[in-house]
Amino acid sequence: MALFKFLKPWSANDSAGRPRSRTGSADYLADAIGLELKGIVSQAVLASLEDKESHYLTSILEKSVFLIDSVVITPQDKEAAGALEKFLRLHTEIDPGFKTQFFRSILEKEYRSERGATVLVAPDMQPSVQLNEASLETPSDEESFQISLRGRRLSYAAAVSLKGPVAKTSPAAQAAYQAAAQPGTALGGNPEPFIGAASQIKGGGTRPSAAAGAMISGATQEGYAHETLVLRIHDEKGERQIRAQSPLLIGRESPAAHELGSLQFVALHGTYVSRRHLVVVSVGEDTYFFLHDAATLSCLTSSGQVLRPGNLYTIARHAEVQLIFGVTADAKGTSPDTSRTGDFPMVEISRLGGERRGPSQATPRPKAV
Amino acid sequence: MTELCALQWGQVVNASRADSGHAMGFDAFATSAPDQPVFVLCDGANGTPQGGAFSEALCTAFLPYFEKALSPGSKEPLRPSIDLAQMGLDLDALGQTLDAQFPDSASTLTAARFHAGRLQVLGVGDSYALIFQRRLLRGWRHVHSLGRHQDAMGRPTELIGAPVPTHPFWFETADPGDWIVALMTDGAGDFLETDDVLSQLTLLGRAQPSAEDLTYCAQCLTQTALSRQSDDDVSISLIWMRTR
Repeated sequence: MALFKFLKPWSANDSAGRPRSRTGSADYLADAIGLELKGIVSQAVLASLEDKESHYLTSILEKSVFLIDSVVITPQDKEAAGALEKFLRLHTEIDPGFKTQFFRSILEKEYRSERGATVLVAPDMQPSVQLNEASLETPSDEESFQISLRGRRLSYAAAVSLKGPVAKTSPAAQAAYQAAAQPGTALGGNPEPFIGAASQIKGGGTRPSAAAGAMISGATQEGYAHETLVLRIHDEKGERQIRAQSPLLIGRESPAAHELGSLQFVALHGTYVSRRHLVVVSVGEDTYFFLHDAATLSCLTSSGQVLRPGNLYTIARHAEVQLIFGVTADAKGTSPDTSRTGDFPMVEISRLGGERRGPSQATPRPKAV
Repeated sequence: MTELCALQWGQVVNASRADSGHAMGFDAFATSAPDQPVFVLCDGANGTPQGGAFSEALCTAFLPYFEKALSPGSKEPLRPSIDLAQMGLDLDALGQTLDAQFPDSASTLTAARFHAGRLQVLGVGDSYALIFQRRLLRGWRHVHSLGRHQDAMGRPTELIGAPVPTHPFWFETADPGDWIVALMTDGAGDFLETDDVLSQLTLLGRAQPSAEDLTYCAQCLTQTALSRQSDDDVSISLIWMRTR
């Protein structure tokens, strides 16, 4: 054992199986390169921000964010180009996603200006290294002498492209905030129409949790509004349209009256419907829906998104939500046969007065009467 | 006479949902500002063969027409200062000219201008034109929404280029102050409330906005309309004027 410990520092691989000698030198390179890049990228972000924010009122800057769309690093001489290239190549051999992770790691989660502007990193931010003429040249002795007289010379230049501003509440900003909160996750992907995690919704009762409402607008259960909803149901019993008042519960079997409380129950007939499947609730002027705690199955939206337990989803005033019941919560990319409404019922929910015109209703040219 | 002291505008034209598959580009916007503060937004009927081209051509053709003084109407302060009946005939003639170029097509028309000491707004078809004014103590408030030519089924009853006599809706004011005219196609207006627009204008407050500020507000409204499942082209133009 002692011999093993003695030999360990010289072994080719570390405990994680990574080649020790290569990453050791690469770590040194990472520190040196990372520090310098972090500095120049920060300066580039702030310079770009300064240029953009001057066009906007402070009141708008406070309600919006800019997003880093791309970062372009340009080595300023052959030595810097070689070092960066070597560093990226070594790590990419081990981890193909390293380049993106590295560039994301040198970016701050958030940059702020004195005027109150905020910059976040867009989840689909594209880093790149570009070589120009200078990147391929070695400084002459005379230049090196001049540089040493003037002090430190920057080995890299950075150009940052910002997009926006976008409202802090916009899907793009929300996705950036989520990506910033989860630095370990892969970048990219589209944000869900997700309002907020409702992990506090616990218990087997049929009433929607007050915590869910409180998370939306600080409302208490008494604060739930009654809104008339239009439900077009396609299930085992065919197609029908009903009007129902929120809060309502959609499921296979109606709970006992004392259990149901103020909830209106809408029965859905189909093979893959949980007894208590979906809750729709209105708070103030907004209407939300979420999977009931007791639901063992989920729903699929028309955009292919599977509802996740504990998440709240919104129904916009003029929008129509189409849900296919019966998919499992962990279903990914699998779509049930929508023609089998006896097995997988479909419900279209819209708010009264907010039914939208179908996309096929093209605007006609008026005719003389 | 009321004078135009400052003018700024921003717009989003032909935005659509990435997943809608209905990005058709039927809307068109044109302005001759800053030479002449005239703005035109048209929405070509997507049920017609060349609605997009028609709206583009209408924008271009209507701009020089609206820059002119036009036939005088009433001199009473509360009556239109231009002859709306004559304007209807002019628009019919313009529609017929464009119909020869783009047969069986048609388009809405909304326009705003500052002319002869008055802010004037015009509308034909089912597009939207909302007028807001900033009051010293009450901030931005909604003053007027132009009428829309629409039947109970939500279909337009009048469009430029349609074989139907045109009776334009009209609004004008000589009141001095800060004004915003929001021109919106139905892809936007059908999915937005007046309060949605007001909430954006609140951001502007009493400051003179830049074109970027107004474009940002238009983008936010566009985003709201699209998030409410608008599957039509969404176009919004916000025109800010300070008069005294």
